[in-house]
Amino acid sequence: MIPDDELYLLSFYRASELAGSMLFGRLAFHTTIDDLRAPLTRHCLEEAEHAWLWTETILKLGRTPLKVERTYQSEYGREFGLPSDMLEILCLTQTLEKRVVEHFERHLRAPDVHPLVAETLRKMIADEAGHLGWVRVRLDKYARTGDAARLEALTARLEAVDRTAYERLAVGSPYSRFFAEAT
Amino acid sequence: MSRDLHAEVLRTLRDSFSPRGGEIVETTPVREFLRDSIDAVELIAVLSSTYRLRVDPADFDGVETVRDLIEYVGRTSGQAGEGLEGF
Repeated sequence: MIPDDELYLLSFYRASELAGSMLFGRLAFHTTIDDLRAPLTRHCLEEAEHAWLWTETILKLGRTPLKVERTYQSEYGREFGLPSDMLEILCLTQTLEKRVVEHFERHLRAPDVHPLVAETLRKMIADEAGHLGWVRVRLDKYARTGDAARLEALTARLEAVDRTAYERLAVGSPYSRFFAEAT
Repeated sequence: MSRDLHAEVLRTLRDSFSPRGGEIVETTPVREFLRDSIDAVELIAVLSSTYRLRVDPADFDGVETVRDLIEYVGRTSGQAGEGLEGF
């Protein structure tokens, strides 16, 4: 068994992966950018698989996933506002996924992490690093062929959004035990 | 704005979203069918990909009802960029 605050955190991870899957599924459904349809669908699948990994981990620990309203996406959305195009979606995704990996690494270093949780964290870290490749390729291409100054400004803005959103998560319980030393 | 575009936007919204209180009409508040931030992003993706509008989030904040939304589409359709600068 794991304590309630850790259950909440794992449920937050699960909800964030689900939110990512739903978002990318809807984008894959609606996009008119033909060559993004396949990678968006794949991304939707991988996020859903990650949501299931957390669900399975929670069940193996003898608990039931909690209904969690807050997610990484809701926190970053609150700070950034509505994205106006796919470029902003991809930049947000890159920023958020980088933060997720860093946070999972921090969680893994925390004392007394249950072996099942540690195993899932390690798998997630390995997966997350790989599944963002297509986003990087698209953004690199945009930097070469599109509005490089806009991309640079957007990246700088997102660094600030990331800092603020993560700091806000760090403040409240039950996040504070795991999100401490956020900056 | 033409009557055609007006009816078309209404049809697009009805095809894509289900408000709690029944069918989408001009006076329906957008919060009736935008339950969370993912719904909001989907709305922008639907409108942008269908009408090629470029959403300025600051302007979009003033959109409260479906009528506001239809007028917004009328004002901004055809302004989306190409590739990643669209949906």
